[in-house]
Amino acid sequence: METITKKETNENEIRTHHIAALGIGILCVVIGIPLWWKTTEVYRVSLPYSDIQHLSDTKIEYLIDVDVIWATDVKKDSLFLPDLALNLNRLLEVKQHQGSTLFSIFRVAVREAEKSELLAIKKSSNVAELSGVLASDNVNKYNIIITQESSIISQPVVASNNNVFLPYNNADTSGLSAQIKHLLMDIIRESAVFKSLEAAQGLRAQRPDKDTMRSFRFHPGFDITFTLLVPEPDHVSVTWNIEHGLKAYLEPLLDSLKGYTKFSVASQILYFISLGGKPKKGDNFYYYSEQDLPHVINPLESKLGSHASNNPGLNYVVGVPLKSRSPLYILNNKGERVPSNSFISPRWGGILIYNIEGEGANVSTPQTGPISLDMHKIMEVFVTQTRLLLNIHHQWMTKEIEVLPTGSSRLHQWEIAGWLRCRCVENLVTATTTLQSLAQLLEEIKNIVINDEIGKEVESAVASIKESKLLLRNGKLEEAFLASKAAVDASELAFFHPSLLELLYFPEDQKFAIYIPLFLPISLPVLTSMFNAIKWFRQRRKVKVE
Amino acid sequence: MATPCINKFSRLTAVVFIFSISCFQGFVYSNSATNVDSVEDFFKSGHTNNWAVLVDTSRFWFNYRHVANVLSVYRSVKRLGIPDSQIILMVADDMACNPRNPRPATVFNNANQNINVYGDDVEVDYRGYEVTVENFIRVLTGRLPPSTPRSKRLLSDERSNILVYMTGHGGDGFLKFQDAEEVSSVELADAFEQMWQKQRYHELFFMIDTCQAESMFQKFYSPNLLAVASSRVGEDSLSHHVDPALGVYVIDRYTYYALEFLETVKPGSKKTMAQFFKVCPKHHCISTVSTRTDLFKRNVTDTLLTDFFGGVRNVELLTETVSLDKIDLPPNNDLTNSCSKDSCATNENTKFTFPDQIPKVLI
Repeated sequence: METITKKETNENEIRTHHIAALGIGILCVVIGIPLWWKTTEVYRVSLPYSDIQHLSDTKIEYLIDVDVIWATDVKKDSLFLPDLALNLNRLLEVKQHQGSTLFSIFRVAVREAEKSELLAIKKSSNVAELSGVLASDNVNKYNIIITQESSIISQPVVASNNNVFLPYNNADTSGLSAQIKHLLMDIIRESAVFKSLEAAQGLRAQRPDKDTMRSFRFHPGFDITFTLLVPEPDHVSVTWNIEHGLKAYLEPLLDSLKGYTKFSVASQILYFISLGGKPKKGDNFYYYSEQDLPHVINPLESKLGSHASNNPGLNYVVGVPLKSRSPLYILNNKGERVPSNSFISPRWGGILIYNIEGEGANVSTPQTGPISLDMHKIMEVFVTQTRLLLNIHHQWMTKEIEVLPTGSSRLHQWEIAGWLRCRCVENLVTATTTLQSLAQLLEEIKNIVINDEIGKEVESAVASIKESKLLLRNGKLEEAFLASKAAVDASELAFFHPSLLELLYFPEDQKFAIYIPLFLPISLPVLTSMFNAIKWFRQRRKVKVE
Repeated sequence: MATPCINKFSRLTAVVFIFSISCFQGFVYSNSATNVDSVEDFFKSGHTNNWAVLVDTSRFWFNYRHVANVLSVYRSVKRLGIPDSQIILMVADDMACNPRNPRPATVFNNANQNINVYGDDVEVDYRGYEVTVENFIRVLTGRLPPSTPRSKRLLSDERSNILVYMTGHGGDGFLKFQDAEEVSSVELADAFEQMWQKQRYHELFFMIDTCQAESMFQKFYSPNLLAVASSRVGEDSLSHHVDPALGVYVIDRYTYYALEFLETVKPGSKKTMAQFFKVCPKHHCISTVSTRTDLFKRNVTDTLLTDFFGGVRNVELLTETVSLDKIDLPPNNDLTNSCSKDSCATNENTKFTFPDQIPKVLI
């Protein structure tokens, strides 16, 4: 009797032990593991992956409004203008650029000129007055005005406000429309738009191209630094009126791009620093050949100082040669003097060598005051370089064309339009590829944390890209550009966000090294006792059944 | 002559399976090799700027030679034309100011003490405990806090050639940083891939002087990478010679011979990468110098050394300029709005704030 109770209590005790072990085991498995899983999970906001994937498939279409205005006295039959419209529309139909996702659409309207317009054209006594005719603010609308050939319009004249005056040479409708198409493609910089698409897509598909290699990609801000090198202030004192130069010559250009990108301009004078490299000696002058020029920049660069901001910098240097080395010229490969005496380094800036004239004649006479440099000459060089480095410069395919000057460095309306169109397409592609590489990286590297802020940026970037494409298709160029700029900003912020790296330097294999010493001592006894308990309960059931 | 090197580091090697997906990328654009020739029609090379990231990862006095290595390379690339603003120099310890240094404020890479590599104009961007794996990866990928100054950033673009030089103590698949952590070959390969994805380099040359150095570039999979390492997997990299006055080794073998070669290079030199890869044969180095060229699309025999070690810029002569109307200076000469303290309307309402003293990372 006593032994039985002892046996029973013993068995009860064992039973409690096993139940407790099982309980702890189940607790660990049911609560512990999910809790551990949940707390060590990489936090990731869900991103619109499918949208991002589709971004590169959707077309980029740009719409351009064209008004063809018939402003001649030549009487044509009533079918001539509708026929011209038909011809033009057929020639300028939706065009796909070499299998890419870029399409151009033209909306052409043909009309007869109004009396007032006719009068205005007739009244203009010189080409300059033509710019006043038909002024419009719409950067995306081009007017092709077909006029009679006259003394002032003997070849196509491009005015600064998107107007092209085309002298009528009695061609038939197809000849005329071909001429118009040619002019249009040139003025909208059709090939440049495609090039900027290619360039933004990366090196993968890119054919090397001088313009894109030379110029900066779009950036919300640029730092421009003007530096004057005065190597021997003790012999030749040199000064410049840079404020005047900037205000008079550079500012109109920068103002034209106001609202699209920011420029901050600074200037400095460096004393006792001369141009690097060793100029060679010619007959009574010194020169650099093209091969020497890279070595002129390198030693200078450390002296120029660095920018405080992270914007790309345009460095413009005016170098006054040493007295013993002047006059100093740049010779091209044929041994001829380069008229501007200056050169560009792609995505860096330019250097101008400024020879102080008449200096060799009276060496001994002491200078009465500092020599002031001719800012007009200097700024002509640097405005050209700025236009090249920012890829504004227009290269005309049509040779016989007259472009009315703006008088200052202010950009033509069609130059701004071309620039905006190129940069808009470039930005769209840049933002898209940035988002796509982010998505791809997230797929490849599991440790990257995506917090709410990045999620928001990605979403706003996607929305901006879509908006920009829609605006571009509707011909709202300026708004489309601004949306594309917002898309680039948001996507860059998302890609370069510092928080993306929170866990990155913690590779997968190291997790085991950390968890094993932690979990092994706990999990071994829990698991073995659980295993024992299950075995014990099974055995008991078997005994009962028997 | 063997230097203390870690051969086996207790490290769990897990199978790496993630990155096999994108391996084919390297071949996709080998067909564009013909395009490179046409760059030469207008510019001399396909890149427009050069950057260098030079990293010494080890601290403590007995690792003097690593600091000397990295400073020597720094000196060479600077001499060949990469400006300080485009060199990121990471030095994990300050040997020049070490109390054990009998010649304070100097670091020599040779027992003859010909050149003080810690000269007048050394700009160290990351020093001491700032040299961490995190900072290194952040510099490469560009994911730095907004308050980081320009000089500490790698602001390269799709037209940049980058030289990455690393030295320190390594093992199979990792390089130790600061005796506290290590960067693995997988992380490094990932970082380069992220750079490629964001078009942060045109071509990248990776050079490493450490034990089992080859293992660091074996995991690379991004295109346009060229790599050289001082030793094969399973081999130690050895130091060159000791300076009895200092009591420590002053330079590593591979870097010593590489520098000897670089000293003969002038900024306009036509020496190629293929010649550079022959530097330090086995009887000099004792370890085997190993290279990797399969990801690089150009031929190394045509690739100039100065494409990575120097800054030979492309230039273009300006043949014609725009004509601007001449605007004369107004007689009153009052364009500048210059004003003295009293005459100017002060805008007292603007409130200035200090930037963050310690850059904080937003999480």
